[in-house]
Amino acid sequence: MTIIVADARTAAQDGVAPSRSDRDTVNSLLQRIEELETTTQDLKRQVTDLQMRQSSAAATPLGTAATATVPDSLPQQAAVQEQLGVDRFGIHLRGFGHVGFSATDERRTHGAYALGDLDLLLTSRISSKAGVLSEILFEPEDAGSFTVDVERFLLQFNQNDSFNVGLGRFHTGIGFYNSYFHHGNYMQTTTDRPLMFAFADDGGILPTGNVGVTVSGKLPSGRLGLAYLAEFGSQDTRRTTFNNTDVDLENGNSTNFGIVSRPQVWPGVQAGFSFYHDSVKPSDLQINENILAAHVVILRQSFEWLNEWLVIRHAPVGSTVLFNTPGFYSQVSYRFGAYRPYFRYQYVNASDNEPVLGDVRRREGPSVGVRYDFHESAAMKLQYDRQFSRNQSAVNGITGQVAFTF
Amino acid sequence: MCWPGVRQFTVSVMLSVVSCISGAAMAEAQQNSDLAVIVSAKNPVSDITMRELRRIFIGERRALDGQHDVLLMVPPPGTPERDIMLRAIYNMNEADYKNFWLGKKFRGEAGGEPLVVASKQLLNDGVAVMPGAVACIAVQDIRRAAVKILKVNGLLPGQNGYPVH
Repeated sequence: MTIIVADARTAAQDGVAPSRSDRDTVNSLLQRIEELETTTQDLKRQVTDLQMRQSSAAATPLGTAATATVPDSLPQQAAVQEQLGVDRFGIHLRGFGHVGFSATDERRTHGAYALGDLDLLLTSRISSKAGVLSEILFEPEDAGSFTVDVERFLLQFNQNDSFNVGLGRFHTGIGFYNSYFHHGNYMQTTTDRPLMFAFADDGGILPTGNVGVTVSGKLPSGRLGLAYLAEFGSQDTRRTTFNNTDVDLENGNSTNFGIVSRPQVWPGVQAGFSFYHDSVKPSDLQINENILAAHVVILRQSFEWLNEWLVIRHAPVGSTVLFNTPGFYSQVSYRFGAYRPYFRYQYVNASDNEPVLGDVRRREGPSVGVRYDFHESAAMKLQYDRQFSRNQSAVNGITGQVAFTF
Repeated sequence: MCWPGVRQFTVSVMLSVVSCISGAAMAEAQQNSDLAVIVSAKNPVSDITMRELRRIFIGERRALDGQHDVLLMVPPPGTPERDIMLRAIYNMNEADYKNFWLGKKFRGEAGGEPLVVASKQLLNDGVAVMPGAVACIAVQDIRRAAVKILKVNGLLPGQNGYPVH
């Protein structure tokens, strides 16, 4: 445009008389130039304003300006972490409880309502790589009294995916169930644990608790998804037998090693094996205890299939006799909306002469039931059990339960 | 004589315009429903598979860059971004999600749940300054140059086949 105007002016200076239309054109072009100059000045002013606003926004507190830019310095990082609450290491508390009704057709028994354990889970981060986990159980006793039992109390260090250490009291990593479901009844599908994983004070046959060190982590194995577990500890298992007597097993120092595989190509599938060694002394007799356990489980949102096998080997010191107590259970369930019907078959077979587990004898039988999650934090369970025992008639039982978390 | 030709031309033009508009609308809708996965611009990782992304969000993989522990930041319940995250990454509903993290804490596998961050600005700032942070956010809510959008299965939000939507 400037060139055109310049040409027009040159032409006028050269003495060539411009026509009326040329003059009009020149005037309109000059007017257009003035408009553009005004627009340019406005735009320059706006750019200056924006630059000033941006520089002042950087000086305001974080998050107050939508377009604020924050220098990535350590003080700013600390300020953002404070706003997010990343470093607030408080204690987090969750509770579990259940209440229910159970009855069997055994002679001289009658159905009764029963309050379940009040289970408190306390967790706390004490740094980005360390935390404390505690599970405290209030167990109802006679006449409305409660006993307090610290089931788990663990200082955990999570160095990386391959190396995690826990110090304190923990549930032994024998098999799958014991280290996956713990005490909160709400977390498990059925109303009770499989007999072979029942807690010692419920007639259980395994050393379910331990005090010591647990080390776990992943192994470099690609798609096999291998992980290891090593536990060293001491415990003092007090077992309540099926004859309603308490036996102090006077355990020695125990070791437990396990390996599991969670193949990446089959999400939710886990297979594993563990070997546990200990010594027990229920009477004057010292007994070496070895427990071999294997499991294959599928745990998905809707489908659950748990299969575990174990054998408990008791070898009295100074004797050539070896007692093998095998056990297994298989539990399958499928969720249809809020309903999850399930089926379980379990089997434990201890010799009548077994020095530790003789009261258990052979027990086996099916359980069938349904879990109904009527609330996102509460579930109702109804279960029928039929149990066959050696030298005894079969027992039928029914249990109704409401389990919840809060 | 030329009337049918003009009508045919007009119809063709209208169809083209309609298809362009609908195509653009679909592309925009796709982009709007895509959820970006963002990390700090300093994070060396730029591309991740959907499988690895799931492993990170369910707490099975603890470090994205091999150095810094992952800090998950997720949208609050009741937001469209939360719904997309639950559907595309977790394949869970809200109740399943809560029970999943409750189970992780119960077993001592996780110290806590992912951090719920409602403020988009704070989410941007948090991801920008914390090297292990990983967050889900709508593309239009990304406000910081110091954050980086991760490619998932080699694709960015808005591209055909992007899996987080």
